[in-house]
Amino acid sequence: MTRQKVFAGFLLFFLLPAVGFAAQAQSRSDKIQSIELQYLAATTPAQRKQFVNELKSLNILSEDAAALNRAVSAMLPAADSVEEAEELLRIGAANPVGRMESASNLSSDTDFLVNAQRAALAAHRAIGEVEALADIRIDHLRKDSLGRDGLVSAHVQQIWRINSVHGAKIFSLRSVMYSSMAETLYMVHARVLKNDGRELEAKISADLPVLERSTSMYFDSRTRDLYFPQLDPGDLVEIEYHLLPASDLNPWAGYYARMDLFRDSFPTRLRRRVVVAPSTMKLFAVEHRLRPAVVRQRNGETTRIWEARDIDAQAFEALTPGASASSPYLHISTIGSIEEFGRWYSSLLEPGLQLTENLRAIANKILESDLTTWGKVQAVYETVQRSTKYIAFEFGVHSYQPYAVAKVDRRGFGDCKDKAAMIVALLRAVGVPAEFAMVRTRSAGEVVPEAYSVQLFNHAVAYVPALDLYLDGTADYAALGELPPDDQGGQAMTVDARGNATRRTITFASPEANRVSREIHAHLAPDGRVEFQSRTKYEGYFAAEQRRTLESNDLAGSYRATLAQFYPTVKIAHAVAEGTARASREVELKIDGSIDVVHGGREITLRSSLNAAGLTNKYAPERLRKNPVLVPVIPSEHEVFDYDLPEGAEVALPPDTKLETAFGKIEVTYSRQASKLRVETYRELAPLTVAASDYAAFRAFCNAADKALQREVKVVLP
Amino acid sequence: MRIVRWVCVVTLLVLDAGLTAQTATRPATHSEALSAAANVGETELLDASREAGLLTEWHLDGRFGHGKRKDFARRFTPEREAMKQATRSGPETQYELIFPDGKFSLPKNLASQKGVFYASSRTYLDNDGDWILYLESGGEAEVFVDGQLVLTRDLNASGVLRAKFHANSGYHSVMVKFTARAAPFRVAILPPNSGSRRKNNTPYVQGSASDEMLAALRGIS
Repeated sequence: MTRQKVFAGFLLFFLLPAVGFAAQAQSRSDKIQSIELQYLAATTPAQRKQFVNELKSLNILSEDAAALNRAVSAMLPAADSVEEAEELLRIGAANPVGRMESASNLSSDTDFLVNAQRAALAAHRAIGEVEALADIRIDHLRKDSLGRDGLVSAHVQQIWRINSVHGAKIFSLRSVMYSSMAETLYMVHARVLKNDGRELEAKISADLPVLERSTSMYFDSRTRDLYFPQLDPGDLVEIEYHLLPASDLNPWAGYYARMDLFRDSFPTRLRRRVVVAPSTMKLFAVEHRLRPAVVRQRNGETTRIWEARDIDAQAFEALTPGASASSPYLHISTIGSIEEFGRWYSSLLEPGLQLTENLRAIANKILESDLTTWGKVQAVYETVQRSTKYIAFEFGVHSYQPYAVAKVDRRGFGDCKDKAAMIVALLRAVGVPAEFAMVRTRSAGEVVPEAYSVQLFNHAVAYVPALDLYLDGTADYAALGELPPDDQGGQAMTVDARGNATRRTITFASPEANRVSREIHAHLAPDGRVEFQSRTKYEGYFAAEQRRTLESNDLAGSYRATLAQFYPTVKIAHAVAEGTARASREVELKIDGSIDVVHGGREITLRSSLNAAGLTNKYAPERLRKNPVLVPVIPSEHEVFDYDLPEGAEVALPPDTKLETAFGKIEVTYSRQASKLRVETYRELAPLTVAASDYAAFRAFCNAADKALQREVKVVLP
Repeated sequence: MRIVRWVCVVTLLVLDAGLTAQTATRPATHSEALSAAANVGETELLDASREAGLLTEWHLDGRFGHGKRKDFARRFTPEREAMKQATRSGPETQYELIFPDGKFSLPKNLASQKGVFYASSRTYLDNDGDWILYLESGGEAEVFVDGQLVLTRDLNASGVLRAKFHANSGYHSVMVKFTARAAPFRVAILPPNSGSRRKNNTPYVQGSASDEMLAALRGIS
């Protein structure tokens, strides 16, 4: 009996605290969940703030991290303000899930990973300052707890060799980024393998949320910085980690897709991508400039392996299009046809397009106004531009799926796809068929048309088929038809109300529709003083840019600054802008002023153009080029200078220039009739993607254009 | 976007009122900056400074002159060269001094020397139009953009000085002519208007595998 009592005493002594701790952990977990539910049910900003503060004040231990992450993931999409979202992102990042000891069933993937030292031995000759010896990613796909496909666990191994002192300097810091709502990051290795056999662990930073306040963009992504101390030439750096699903449910309900580019900023010896999936799961791969996968089937699983070896580094050059334009890539998706893609995205989009009472009232008001189709579209577009600020909450599925229009209306903010969805919903409500258009902007680089996934797109706009018109809700000052430069030339996938998807290319605005026209009439007095009247018209998206600039800028001061580059003594007497309302198709600046162009002597010089474009400096500064040049959309520019010369003035007219190539068109003409001197210039640059092999010719065109436009007219006063 | 950038730079420039009274610190080399970054999160600071329009990477020339007051009025080689070229600095220029907080300081061995120094940097302006140059310094300094004098700070000036200049998009050289007394200093370049609420549609500077990964995490935005 006594022995039993002693045993019972021992049990109580050792087990009770454990039970107590477990109970406390359970109670904290319950508390976190309770705060989450109360937050989601809260109806006022004050209540929500209070619950966020409560969450923040909890004493969170590492075992609570999973519960906290779940709560934050549920709360983030419901946040109604930037402050709430930022606070939640900070709370989540301060308590990341992902301790190795808590991870279970991690795949070793020994068939696919490589040994760092052996990889280094095999790579005899060093290439570059740093080279990637191996970059391997294995995606294990399985069904989620509801039996849907596409739940993914990733295993990543990256090995680099440091080949120079400079390489050691530039490589000492690496970051790993992951999506906190979908993934949990487990680091296996972050280490330096020294030549002498020593192993040095990296210093690992706390997780940081990714937010870009400057562009009002907020993400559920986090970064973890890895610092490798004491790097020397010959060292190997190895990173290995797992990205496990943060929940047992695939938030994309059966969908999985990835786009992997096979070229990076370092030369790469081996890039290997492996997908292990149930054999019953359909996967569609697009292998662009890659060898087809090696496929193995075993135990009901299909393993697909793609490899590329000895890949050059991507050269760092400005105005390079996205790497998909020039790099090998692999695109994998559960969707293999445009019909399927349309149906699937429509199922994400359509339920959120229900109008609120407020939006219905707006639609009714537009309907009552008895407008033409164009008028209705204009009214809807301006309504959304004015009522919805650009703030992007890219949380979870909302990185690709718009928030419900009702939520965007209540918040008063949204990103490109939220605005596009609201435009589509309102247009349909006023009887104008409209489609939601996902856009891969030109700068992101082209992809082949056989690939279907939302991951390919980085922008969204609305499309009106009846008018063949795209509406970018993020272009605050744009009127109908004035599309931002980077949208033009983009690849779009539009989805209509019935879920039909159509692939389209957004056309470039013509040079006539995207134009700056400047007419200057100047009277040159015998004493060298010039009185001028300038009229500048902006058409197309550059009119929208002027509307924006004029809202906050000093017009006279700005114009003075433009002229002062060439004529430092310029004085502006009068400056006015017309057509700044969006209904106007063009903005016109009227500026009158004077310049004292004589600085001693009787000879004066007049510029042929006020366009100090410097095409070479802007678009072709390098002598040689490895990547293509993405020439941006710029307006065509037409200038006419009419000078009244004083009697007896002598003029030396430079030669005319007419230059027309595939890259663009430059015309500069000079004419004199009695006391009238006319200088006329025209500049047009084609928004091409200039191949590296054509760069020399493109640069020569830019040089010739600069030379022609910068030519001066010498006038000798009587 | 620009409102925030402007607020950032004003905060960084104005709140640090004690800047000019501080002892000059040795500038970090590239590797030191990176090393420091890992310890105290200075990478983030570097990004924040750049985001705020502050110039963080510099090349130093000097000192010039004989330590006389009138030296500052003279044009020494870097200035003459800059005016002659009146173009943007070439990619071959090395900007070996990195200041994550955007605060340029002279190396200790030069901080107490008399004479004239030139600090050169390079920036990419993403739009044609007007730009505002900010200078915070405690001494005599001149700032040139592409060889053109944009802002002058004489000995009696106080506070953060600003000057508007016009520039086209592309690379531009920025050069500060200064005496040791003017260091540490900070230079920022920002657009004057702040109405933009739309996402930045600037073409990618470079596309790479990591960009695509980043794009995937960003989504359609």
